[in-house]
Amino acid sequence: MSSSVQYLLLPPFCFEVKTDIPFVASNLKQVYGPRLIDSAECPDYFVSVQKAEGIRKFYRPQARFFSDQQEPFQPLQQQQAYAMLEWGMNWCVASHEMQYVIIHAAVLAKGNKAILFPAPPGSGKSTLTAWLAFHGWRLLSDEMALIQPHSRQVTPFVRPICLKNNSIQLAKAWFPEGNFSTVASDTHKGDVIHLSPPESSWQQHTEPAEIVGIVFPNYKVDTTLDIYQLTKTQGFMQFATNAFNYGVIGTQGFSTLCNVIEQVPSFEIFYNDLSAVSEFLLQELIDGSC
Amino acid sequence: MLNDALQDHVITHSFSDESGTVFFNQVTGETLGVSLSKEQLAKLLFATEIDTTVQPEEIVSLSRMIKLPLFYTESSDEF
Amino acid sequence: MDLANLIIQLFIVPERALQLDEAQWVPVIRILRHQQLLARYAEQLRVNQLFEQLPDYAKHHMLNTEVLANKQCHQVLFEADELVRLFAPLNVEPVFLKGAAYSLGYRLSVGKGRTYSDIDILVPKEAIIAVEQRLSLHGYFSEPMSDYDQRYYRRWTHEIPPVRHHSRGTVLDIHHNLVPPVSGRAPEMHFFDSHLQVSAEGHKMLSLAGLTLHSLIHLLFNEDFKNAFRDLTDLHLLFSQCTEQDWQQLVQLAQQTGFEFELFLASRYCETLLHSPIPKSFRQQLDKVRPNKLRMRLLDAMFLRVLCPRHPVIDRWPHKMADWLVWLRGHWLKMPLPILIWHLLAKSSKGLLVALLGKSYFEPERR
Repeated sequence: MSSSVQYLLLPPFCFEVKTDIPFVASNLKQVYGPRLIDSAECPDYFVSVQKAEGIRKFYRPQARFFSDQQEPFQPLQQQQAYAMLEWGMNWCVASHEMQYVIIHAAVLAKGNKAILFPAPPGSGKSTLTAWLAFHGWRLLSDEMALIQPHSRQVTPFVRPICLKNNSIQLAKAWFPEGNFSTVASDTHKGDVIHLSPPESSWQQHTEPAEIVGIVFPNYKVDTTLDIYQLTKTQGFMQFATNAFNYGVIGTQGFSTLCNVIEQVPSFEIFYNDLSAVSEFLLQELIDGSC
Repeated sequence: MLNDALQDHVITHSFSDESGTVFFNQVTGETLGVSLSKEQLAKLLFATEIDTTVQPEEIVSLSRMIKLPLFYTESSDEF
Repeated sequence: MDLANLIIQLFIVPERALQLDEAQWVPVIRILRHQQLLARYAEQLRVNQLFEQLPDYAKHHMLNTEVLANKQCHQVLFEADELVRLFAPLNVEPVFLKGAAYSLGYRLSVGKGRTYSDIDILVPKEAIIAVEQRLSLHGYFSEPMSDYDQRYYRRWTHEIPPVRHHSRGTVLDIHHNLVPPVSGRAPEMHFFDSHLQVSAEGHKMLSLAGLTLHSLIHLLFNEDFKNAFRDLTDLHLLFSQCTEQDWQQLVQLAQQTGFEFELFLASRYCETLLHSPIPKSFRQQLDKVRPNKLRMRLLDAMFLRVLCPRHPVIDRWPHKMADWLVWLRGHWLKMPLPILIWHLLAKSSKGLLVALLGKSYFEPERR
């Protein structure tokens, strides 16, 4: 079986991607567009998604993810192979990159003012991210905020937005022109799909931004918008819970998070009205900050 | 003052809004936040008797980060 | 120059690093990361004040691995203190082995940038059960493993199944000997009694001679050579720190425990591949156990291939052939024949099933 080798230029990193699964290759093209290239000088990571060998080729076929020779995950059903590749690339960054403090958070910005949305799965973070990204906000990241140590600066790591379950239909209705991957059904997160952010976010994928606020989102069916400002201690604890590599980088991670929390306000919001959220963010965090 | 009482490898930060203090163990990565300011913590450290407003679980967690007066920790040595 | 050679050259002559451009670093970094040597090379480049002059690509990846190695160094100190404290009521002082000992022995250059996945300790055989019980009371549990593997460990090897700390994830390998007794080559452990030292922090480990002997036994009296090049660089660094007196002890200990031949091989390949300083007098002394010409050539053909830097991007068929031969040899050395056959059968019938059904068949599907 022939394997395709291509490269993803996703500043600040570059990936060599190898796959022998045709729909993975076509999804890459659909989602990454011109970021997918045929040659690159200096790939940082060498990832591959391959069909599992043996009888599993024919019976409930599976896919395996490799980062070079390392296999960090159990094999998954082959129809989930593309999602697996996206998660595998996240794994590469989260487990190797130690020169940023990495937070599990979406990052959206107006100009160079960024808001972080750290949140556990199920909080509606990705739906909010997708909506904002297609309504005039710039997406810096869907899953990982890369913070420069001892600063408030976030380095963009633009990647597709991972939407789950009900939000898949919602997003398809909202953005009929969007570049969607195929659906990976029945994963540990439910059904998932990856949506490419608008071209403008891709265009600015090397421009850093300054954090001006942290918002912990909670989607709540019966609430238009409730906003609670957190104390700095509360904000810190929630922030640190979402940090990937903070235990490894030690002191630098701790003091960077303390420093960010000291300088910007943090809020917990409960909402069902996305434009009300956008309005609040603009007034309270973007226009209010200097 | 607080710094002298920290356990090995523990660093700390008290926030400017006086909402509390966070502790971080640089080796284990363990992190703890308490809603006590630096001053309130100092009071706890130099107390001569048990402050009954502090819950036993909080004492256990705190004792992993700071050296509390002996009468707090005697009963919970195994932790 | 081929990549394996280039990586060896970079180790012997770190200055060579300045001649590589960004693109040339890409496969080098990839192979070093695969061989768990990125942090060690970074350390060498720093010591030689070359690090800052490297291209950004190389610096970026080396800095990442330095952070991880550093964290591990701090972590192992903490874990070692925990273990000493935990075993004190049993009157057992664990002897730290291999990677952990390299990190804890602060004077050892071999500890700088050395990364490893488990902490290896040695305890007296009589204490094994008590140690195991105490560990399980304090949150260290063994991983699920097949009955066959469980029995194999208990009955034939020099260690018990590894245990993992439930929250920190630390994995402990607990040994009662340095070599599986089933091989008939397990040394009397009392020979090591006079080869122990205690670090400034109070952690017990083998002396430099003892560490070196264990390191070379582990490398050459074995069937698994996945990290062989890293282990060879360990030996180089250990040999380089041995004084005349350490060498005397090393040779004596190797004679007493029956591993003179392995010492001969280790010094031969360290010298050939990494230009390690082996004192002439000892080399002559070791020549006594040199095998005949034919056997020597066969051993060279195998070991010079398996001890090189390795990665699927550079492996050719002679490498794979050599892997297979040393694998057979390792099993042969470790087990008397009837058990060898039994073990291979149990392993290979599973191997066949894996080939037939796919590896995933044996692992629960994660959702």
